[in-house]
Amino acid sequence: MAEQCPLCERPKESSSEFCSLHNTALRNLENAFSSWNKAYDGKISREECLDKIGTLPETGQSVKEVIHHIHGKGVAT
Amino acid sequence: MVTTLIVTEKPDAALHVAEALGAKRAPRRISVGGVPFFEVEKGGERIVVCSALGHLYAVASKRGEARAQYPVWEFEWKPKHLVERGQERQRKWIESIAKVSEGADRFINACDYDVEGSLIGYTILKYACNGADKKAQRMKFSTLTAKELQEAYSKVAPELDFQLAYAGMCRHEVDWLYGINLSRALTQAAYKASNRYSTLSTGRVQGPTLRFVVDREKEITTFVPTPYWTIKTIIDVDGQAIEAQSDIERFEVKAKAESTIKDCAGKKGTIEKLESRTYRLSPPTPFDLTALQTEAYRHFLLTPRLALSIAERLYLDQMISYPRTSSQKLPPSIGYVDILKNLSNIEGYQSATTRLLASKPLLPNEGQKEDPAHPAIYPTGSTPKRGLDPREQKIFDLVVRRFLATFGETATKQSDKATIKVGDHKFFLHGSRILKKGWISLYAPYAKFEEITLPPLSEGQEVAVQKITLEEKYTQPSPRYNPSSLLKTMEDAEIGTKATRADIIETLLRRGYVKDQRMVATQLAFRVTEILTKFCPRVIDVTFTRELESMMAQIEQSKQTREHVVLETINYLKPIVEDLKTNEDEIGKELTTIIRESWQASITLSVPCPRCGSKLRVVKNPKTKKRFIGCSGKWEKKCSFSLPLPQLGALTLLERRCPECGFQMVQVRSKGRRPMISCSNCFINKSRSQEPAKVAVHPKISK
Repeated sequence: MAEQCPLCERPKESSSEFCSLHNTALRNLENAFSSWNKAYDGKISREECLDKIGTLPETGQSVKEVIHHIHGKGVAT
Repeated sequence: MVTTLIVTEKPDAALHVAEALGAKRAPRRISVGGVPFFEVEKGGERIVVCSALGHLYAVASKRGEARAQYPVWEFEWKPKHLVERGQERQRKWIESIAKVSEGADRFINACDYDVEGSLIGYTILKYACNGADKKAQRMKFSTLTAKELQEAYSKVAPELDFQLAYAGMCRHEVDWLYGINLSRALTQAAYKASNRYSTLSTGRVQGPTLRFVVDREKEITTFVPTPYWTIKTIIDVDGQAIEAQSDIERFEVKAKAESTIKDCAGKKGTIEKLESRTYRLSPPTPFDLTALQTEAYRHFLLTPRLALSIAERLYLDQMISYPRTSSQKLPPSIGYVDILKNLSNIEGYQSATTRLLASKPLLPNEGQKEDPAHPAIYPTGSTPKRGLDPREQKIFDLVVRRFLATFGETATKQSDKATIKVGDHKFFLHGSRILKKGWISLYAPYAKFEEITLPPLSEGQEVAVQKITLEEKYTQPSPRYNPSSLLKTMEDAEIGTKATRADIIETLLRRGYVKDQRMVATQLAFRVTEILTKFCPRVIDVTFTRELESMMAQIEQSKQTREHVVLETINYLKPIVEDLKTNEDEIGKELTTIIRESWQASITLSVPCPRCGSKLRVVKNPKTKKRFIGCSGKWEKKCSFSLPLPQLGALTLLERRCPECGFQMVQVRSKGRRPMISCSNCFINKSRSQEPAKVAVHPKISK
């Protein structure tokens, strides 16, 4: 059986750390960073951006889980 | 004397038909085997009216395989009591109708005039009345008023509407083939892997509908908001503070918004341009079922299924026309003037009906949609023969006011816009007012328009920016479906029928695929949809379902045969079911974990035990079989905390907290009843403080 996503019971997608759902969340997060960066004229770091997104009520639960995971691993730079 | 047996769909309808045909003499109620029949005489003819109890016959496997076995491709129609449990009344009904039919010379199907009604009557006449379908006639009507029933009887169609009945049979057969094979495949896969029985279902319409909900949930759970800014500006116009909108609705870059504020703060501006536009607002179209369900949800938060069931009750009480209609047409033959005159006798509608009766000609603003069987929903003008409950009163009022509004005059609205220039920046002041109310006053309180009146303004007039502030906002995910918007999505996707869509939504709730009226997809829904996407994506694809709907509609028009559609379905399903069978083990493994988790989640409360902090769970006493909330720390921490639960109905733990005590609330759903939401903690507290105990049921606050 395929390896399990570290954030849920779903199987990992091939060549990805996550399942399809958390992978979509990660992709959306990465895509959003350029919009955030542009919105703040380049004056927001990736770390600040993740922190902010992680606290917003509009942010999807899977995205929050991915952010938590990134923070846990200490790779959010 | 000739004896005519008339078959109706429901007992109330049977009584109305008998009353209408019996002229001045009240019908005689007779009981055959405990089943009521109504007997009247009309010009030397003995008329016996009986009713069905919905469908008395159902599709079942021809070979009677074990419940776990699939695939199953051979089927036949059997009495419902032989197919489903708890259908003992249906057996009595079939036997009694069969007995009465032996003495009948003439047969009439007077069930509701649509696919289901035609099928109910057809199967009873064919199977219970010894092949009487071949010589039976058909009464067609849209209201249960005496006048219309008498007319329908005098103009009875010489034979049954076989095409409608065949279309109905085909729908049941196709849905059965889907349900039995796919649901059994999922259930068996899960059972083999876990040795535990859980009912998992999917279906021709259910699968694609669930996919809508899951896709939306995925969109929400993977949504990343992005920031944007708006400017809130207060303009001083001759001492009056008015809010203005910037010509840039949203600033994607913060610095640009800040620069605008800096440029305009405390500055003077000039009114550059004044514009006014007048709009004509056409009256609404008459209600088809979907529009009625949508409005009932919008104004009263009544689910589509509940709105339909209330509307059907009002139809059986002769107060409104047949509600299962797709039509937005009101033909003159329904008698506009008579209806309006009769409505004026009902409290609250006199001034509106008087106004309409004085204006001629009476022309409803009809919509495009048509239904060959029925007009749009309209009030018959009959006064209520019993006290309506509050929800019935609401639906009745909505139907009446909508009917009145469709005859109303076009309303006119004026929109005013002032463009203000402050340096290089532009702001707008918006006003709007209703110049002529027309139909709006007839549809009140269901039509609301906000009026904003601007003070007298002139071009070149100087104004001042009194206050200008920056507001940070974030993009929002698409909203979750609610029962009403999901129903609309199903209709737009052309899946299901007006009669079945509301039931499909209820099934999603009952099966645990969807939580709450907010239509939150559960993990079980995610996993089942993912499995279907992986192993048989065509099951949740709307394309074939839509094609089937179209083919079944063609049967009604004699352009397609039932046999062909069933064969197409089997050919489509066979490879899918084979794939499922081949992958049974893998599917089972994937389902098992989520079933266990879903089951655990469905019985575990999110609030901890107030005594020991352990998890609270719904527990069943093995001896008394009664359910209650118990503490999982019972053995480890010797905690004896418990709370009572309602004993009847399907129980769901809601995410919602009690507004009085903050405890997690529960919902109980019983068939045919409005969901009951209650708080066990308040119940026990109130029971202790008040004797005798009173049930603490909170008003429904779902949105």
